[in-house]
Amino acid sequence: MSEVILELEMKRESKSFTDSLYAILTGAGLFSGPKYMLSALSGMASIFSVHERLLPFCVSAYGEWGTVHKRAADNLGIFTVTDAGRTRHPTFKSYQQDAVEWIKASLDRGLAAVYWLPEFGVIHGYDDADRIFYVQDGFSSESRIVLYDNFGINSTPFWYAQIFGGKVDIPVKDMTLEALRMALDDWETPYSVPPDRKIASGRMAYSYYISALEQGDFDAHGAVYILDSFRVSRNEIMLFLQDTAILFPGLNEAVKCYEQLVCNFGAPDRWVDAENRRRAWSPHVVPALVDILKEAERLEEHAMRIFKKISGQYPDLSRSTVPRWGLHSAR
Amino acid sequence: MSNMHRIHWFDQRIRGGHYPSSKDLALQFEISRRQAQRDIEYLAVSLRAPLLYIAKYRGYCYEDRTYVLPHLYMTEEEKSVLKFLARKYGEYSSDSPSGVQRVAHLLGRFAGEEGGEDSRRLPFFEADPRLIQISQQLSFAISHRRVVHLHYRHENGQTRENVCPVRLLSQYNADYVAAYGEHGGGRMLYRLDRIENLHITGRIFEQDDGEEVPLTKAGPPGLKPFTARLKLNSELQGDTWHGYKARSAGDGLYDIEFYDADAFLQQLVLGSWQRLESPKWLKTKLQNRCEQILRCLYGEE
Repeated sequence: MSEVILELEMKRESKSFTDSLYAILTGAGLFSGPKYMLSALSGMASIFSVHERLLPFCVSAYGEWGTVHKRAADNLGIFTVTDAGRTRHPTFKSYQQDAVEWIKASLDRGLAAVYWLPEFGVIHGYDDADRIFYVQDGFSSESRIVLYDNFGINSTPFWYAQIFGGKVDIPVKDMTLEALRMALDDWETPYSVPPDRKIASGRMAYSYYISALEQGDFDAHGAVYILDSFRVSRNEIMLFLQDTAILFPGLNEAVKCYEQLVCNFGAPDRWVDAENRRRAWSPHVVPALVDILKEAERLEEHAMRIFKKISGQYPDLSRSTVPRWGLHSAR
Repeated sequence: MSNMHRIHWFDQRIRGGHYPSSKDLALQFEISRRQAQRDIEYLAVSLRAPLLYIAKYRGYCYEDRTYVLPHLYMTEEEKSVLKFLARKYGEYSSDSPSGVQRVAHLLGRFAGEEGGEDSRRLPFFEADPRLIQISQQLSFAISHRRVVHLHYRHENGQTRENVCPVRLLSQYNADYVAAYGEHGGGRMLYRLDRIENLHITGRIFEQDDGEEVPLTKAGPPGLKPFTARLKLNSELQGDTWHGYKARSAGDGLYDIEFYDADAFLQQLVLGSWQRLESPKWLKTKLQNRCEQILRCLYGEE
């Protein structure tokens, strides 16, 4: 019987996966730097996914988590293992018990694990005597308790967990270039969870958001939550580009785009009906918000052209080489 | 069906007391007498109309004047296909269970309507006529508690056995019949697509209401509750402690089950007990809560 509790702090400031990743990597000494840098280098900052009715769950519905989160760790040079599935599968119990063991092993090595609560949280400790995991959700300083037997069981039909390992150093310039390329990939991908077309991503996400506002058929809480997440991520991109503009000539122009974009949106509570203490749009702000979103789309489109130009100046082996498996179909 | 309008006309003529005949039907719709006769046979056999030929008027009337044409002109074969599909959809586990179940319900009512907005995402099942036939026969045997002689293909060969079928079910995209041996033995699941042939005997078996067929539980697993071990001041009357399920662990100790830790903590603060044995995390949580209250009480926050 043993017990391990890692001291780390997760705070919800960005996307839940980014917050979890930051807490884990900084706690283990695998990353040092501000959260915005991690968010941008991992590609999480550029992700923007919107449901046609602005339902709040779409903030985390940005594609196959295993793929996106592995991509995130890969660009940071960090080894990662993910596992996920659906709790209704007859084999779930076997995977659950297996996951409990490898998460405990990771904690024994001093590395916490990402866990889908929902949303993403951090498993930072275990206790064999009580057969529990300690989980931080980023909202409360007090950890949640999850029984080993309840691992993976939540209000959604699926479970997800991810652990990390060693790290190799990647030059900052290479990481930055790849971050720009990931942003381009996300911008050009219209649907994050095909064949479902109710959730759009990248450029298309803007039109979904604007369309929902104009038609008036949207979830009020979701609308605010999505935009909050969007504003935070664009702010992260802005700060990231300000720090890395020196690496690539031409990035300064993209910095100006994002600075303008962030400035247009203004203070966090500018659009919210603060009088009623509700996190919902005041109806009279919708037209102005639509205009700002259209302008934001234009600015991001311009920034993406700059990213594309910079990307074209350097070879892209991972995308131009036909892999034996992966994105390309079998030949 | 292309003859629906002719059936409808014939029905109206009968109700009007005109005693229509096959000749009238043929003349009205410019079809052959033979075709008209087939329509009348369809009305009598498939739609179960109580037709009576009156020689005096050389035409038909309804023996039972309360008879009404069914809303859906469906043959027994078509109904059995819909029943099969209704059962398959009803037992299918999916991410959008409400949509699938709605379709199952509609099929079960023979509404014959298209599925709702989820129809394009509904699973497709191959309606093998042979499987439907076997399913039908087994349904009859189940409802009449008849012993069935099965010629079954196992992985290791073929067997012939007499079984008492109790239930049809679908699991993992295959159809099964749950049955137990005629002369005892445990319950077994037989795949319908491995039944080479079957024969319903005249023997009736007694329904075993005891042990249920062990089935893989469909749907997501349930949440297991936390368990706190408390030493109470007195013996519990009943199996609950302030509404929480409780089990005696001996020596005045009880295992109390709960799901919401904060609510249970409230109960611990309000309730009366001697000692909290476990779990450790709950003891820590309670301690922290008490310390916080004390800090507030003495203005130390």
